[in-house]
Order: sequence, then structure tokens, then C-alpha cells
Amino acid sequence: MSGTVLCVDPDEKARAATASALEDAGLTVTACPDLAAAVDALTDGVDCVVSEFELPDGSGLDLLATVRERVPDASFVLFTDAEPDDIDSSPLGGAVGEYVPKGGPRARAQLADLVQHSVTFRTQTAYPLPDDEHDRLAVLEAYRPVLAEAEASFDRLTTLVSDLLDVPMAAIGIIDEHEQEFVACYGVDFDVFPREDTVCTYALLEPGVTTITDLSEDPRFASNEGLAVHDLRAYASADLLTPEGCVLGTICAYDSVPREWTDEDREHLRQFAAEAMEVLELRRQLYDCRGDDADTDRLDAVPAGGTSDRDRDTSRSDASDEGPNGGAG
Amino acid sequence: MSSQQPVGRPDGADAEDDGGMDPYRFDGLPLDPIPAGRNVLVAGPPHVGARGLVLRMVAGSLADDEGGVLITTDADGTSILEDCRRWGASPRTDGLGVVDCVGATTDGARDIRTTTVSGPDDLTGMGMRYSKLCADFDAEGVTRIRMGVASVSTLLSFGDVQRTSRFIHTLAGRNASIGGLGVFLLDPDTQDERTVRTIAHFCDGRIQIREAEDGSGDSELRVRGVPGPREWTTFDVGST
Repeated sequence: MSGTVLCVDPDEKARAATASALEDAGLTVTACPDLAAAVDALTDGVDCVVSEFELPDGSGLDLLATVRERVPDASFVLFTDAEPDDIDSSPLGGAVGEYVPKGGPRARAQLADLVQHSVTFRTQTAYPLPDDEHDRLAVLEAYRPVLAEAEASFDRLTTLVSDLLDVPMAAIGIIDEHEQEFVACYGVDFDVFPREDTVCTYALLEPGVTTITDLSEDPRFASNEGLAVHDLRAYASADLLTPEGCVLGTICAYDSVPREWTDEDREHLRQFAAEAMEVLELRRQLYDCRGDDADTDRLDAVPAGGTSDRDRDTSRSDASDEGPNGGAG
Repeated sequence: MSSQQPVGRPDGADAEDDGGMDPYRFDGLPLDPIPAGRNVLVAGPPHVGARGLVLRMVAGSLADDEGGVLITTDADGTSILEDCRRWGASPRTDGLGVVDCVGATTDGARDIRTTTVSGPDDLTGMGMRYSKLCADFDAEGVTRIRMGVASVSTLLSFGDVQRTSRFIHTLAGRNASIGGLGVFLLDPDTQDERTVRTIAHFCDGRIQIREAEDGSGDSELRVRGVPGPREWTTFDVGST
């Protein structure tokens, strides 16, 4: 697996040597001389940032703070001559990163090993990854082209979830490498969230149906301000499980008050998840057929649930080109 | 549990394999050797020897070509040495490093490489100092590193689950990357079960510890996810 690394060092020679060592390890490198250039270059596609501590217009730790804000899943490595005792990291607290001292003959080789491992296994995320994450993301790609087409069906399903489980809010979300994208919502207007900010990120780690009676008492979400903002107190979700056994995302029910979820709630969610997955699966197979015979517009032959679907598809794909997922491919 | 081993990965990430490195062995403990590059959670309360087990796995079993690093929030080099001896571990002090928040190391521990952070919430500082100790060992030709965090429970009491998670994940990533051994101590009785499960996800295996149910007062362990006894097995908690 290759990765994109931002390499920040004010010293031209050192920067070139570091960039070269990383490139030799198969990584794609963008090199910057200072904090401002690094912040400009810090896009969603960056998997890792390697930075000197002392920069002409700030410090490597300033950059670390920006990385955690903008691309929270990315890895960060201070590659520096500065000793840990000369780096005041206390104001940063939890904005954890790695550190590799620059001195020593093997420093750049060690850096390259560490960066490559970190990028491959995404070792600095604030949440655990499912064991099959790599396969899961590969399988998700096959469904991505049909997500917009499924939107109308998913809208109906979330409405039904709300009715049947008697909850004010319901949603269907797809969890990709760094974000959860909500394809359909009822009673809320979720769009895209970083994975570290969603409850589903943790539901993904447990098979089947996940229920949480009171999110405000769950220590995993103690610092998650978004839940209170959206008035989310109780959570239940079922996995969207592909025939290969990979979880693409979840169908969720939310209540604004604590709630003991019943076995019946769980069973309903499980069935809705199966229904949602079947919609995706059929649309994916149809899409594959269309790919075999591109001139035939077979979409017209399928009841798509509403005459406005075409328009909606167009606007959705336009929007996602500009959105954070635009470059994720 | 874990996500950082090449097993079952179709992406050809075999470069992350243990590279034929010898496994880590444990003196006087009923544990099987653990392959290089693995991280384990030691889950148990203090009074049945969970902390002692971590000290013996990290500091008390060091081979000549190995270095040990203990990351601790509530003890300095001296008290770590005392603890080790109390639990029956006699570490080579020149092979031991300590990252602490106390910083008052006296003569008895002068061989130990001690490095101090400003406080238990300075996770960035702890991580940097661990990395620096690894680099120092490496410069001396010591590339096999055993790392212990004693304890994750204390870290959780100073920071939230997500911050602690990123820290544990990053440490575990380094250990997997360099072919080290990571040992994380957690007292499950003091934490929400969902927190324990989250932390366990960053580890390849778990060593559970309990007091024997036969009333003998013995401590027992069993192992999941890495080689080791799967049934409850008595272990010696040292000369207390």
C-alpha cells in the first residue's frame, strides 16, 4: 500500500534527504519548507506528516494541532534534532504523534520504516479499526457508484424505522476510510462526519446489532460534543453486511431520551438492515451489468422509487466532487 | 483483536512480519514465548499481581540483547526497581529505561535511564520519550525492546477514552513496527466494560489475571490471542 506524506523541514538538504528516503520506501512525498506551506498542503489525501520541530514561522507541534483538527486519522512524526526535554508538549495533551531523532546513521531508514507501517496500518487513529478493515474498504468501493441511486429507497427505510421503532431520528450511513457519510436521514440532517466523531465507528467493531441505552453515560463518547448538539441520547444500529461478510455501514435509530431497546427493536433493525443491503446489492449487480453494456440505459427499466431520482443523482455526485470524499475514489 | 499483523492480509504487507526475529521469552512465568511485534493487554486488579506480572514480563525477563522501557505515571526509577525486586524480578538496570511523571531518581537507580514528563496528561511527551529511549537503545545495538505501560487505568483517569486510545494505538504501532513487545496493564474493575473492549482492540492478545477460586490466595492467569495457557494457570507473584 502506498501513502502520501507531507515532509516539512526548513533545511533544504535535510528536506531533500528525508523526502528521498521516504520515496525510496514507496511513499509519495510533498515537501514544504515551513508551517504556512505545510498547512496549505494539508489536504484529505495526506496519510502522514513528517516535520522538524523548529520551523521559521512556528513549530512542528503547531502543525500537529492542525493535523489533528483537519485530518484526524493521519499519522504525525516529529523528525527532529530537538531533544524531547526541549520540546514543551504539555499544552498539546492528547494530540499524540510519533518522534524520531534525526541524528544517527540509520535515522532516515528507521523513519521510513515507521512511516510506512503507520500509513499501512493507520496506527494513529483515535479509534480501533475492524480486523478486516482492508478488505472491507476494498469491498465498499464496489458499492460506491450506486450509493446515490439507493438514496430514495434508503429515505423510505429510515422513515419506516422511525415509525416502527417510534424514534424521532433514523439514518443510514456508510463508513469509509476516514469518514462516515450519511446517505439517508429521517428527523436529522447528517452529512459527513470524521469517523472518530461517530457512534457507528464503535458499532462497526461488534457484530450484528449494537444498542446503547444512554450515550451520555458511555465513556467512549464523553468528549463528543456533537451528540448533545444533535440531541442524541439513545442509539441502536444494525450492520449493512455484504455477502462477503464485510460491514459497509449501519442503519441507525436515535432517541433524544435514554431508552432500553427491546429484542423487537433489535429484530426490526436487523430486518431493515437486510432490506437496505439487498437494495445496494441489486443496484450493484445492475451497475455491473450496465458496465458490460455501457450504451444501454437499463436504469430506466428499474423502479427507482421516484421521478426525481435522476436529478437527485446528478446533484449528489456534483456535491460529492467538492466534498471531503471527492478525492477518495 | 488487533489490526497490525500481516496474517490474513492480502495486500502483501508481509514486510511488517517479525522478519524471523526470535520471540520474547519470560523467566519463571507460565507463559509461552510471544512472537516479536505483538502487543498484549494484562487485565487484572493490583492485589492479585497484575502489576507484578507486567514488571516481570518487561523488566524481569530481559535477555542480554534486549532493552526494557516502563512508562509509568505514579512511580520513579527507584520505586520501579523496588517494585521489580518485590515481585521477584531482578532487572539488569543498564537495560532498563523509565518514562515517569515524578522525576526523583536517587542513587539506587542511577543506571536506569530515567526521563520525566510534566504530568500524566502529557501523552505527547510520554510518547516522544519512549521513542527517544528506543533510539538510544538502537544506537547501542539493542534493537529488541520490551515496553510496559503501568497503567492504562491511570492514563484513563487523566484523559478521555479517545485520547488514551490514540496514545495506545500509536505505541502499539511502534512496537509492531520495530518487532518489539508491548505490555499494557489495565484494571478492568475500575473501568467501564466498553472502555476495556476498546483498549483491548489495539492489542493482539490479552492475559487475564484473577485470584484462584479455591481460596488458596494464589494468582492465576490465562491467555487469549497470543501463545500461552488457555486454561487458568497458577503463577508465582514473587516474594511479597
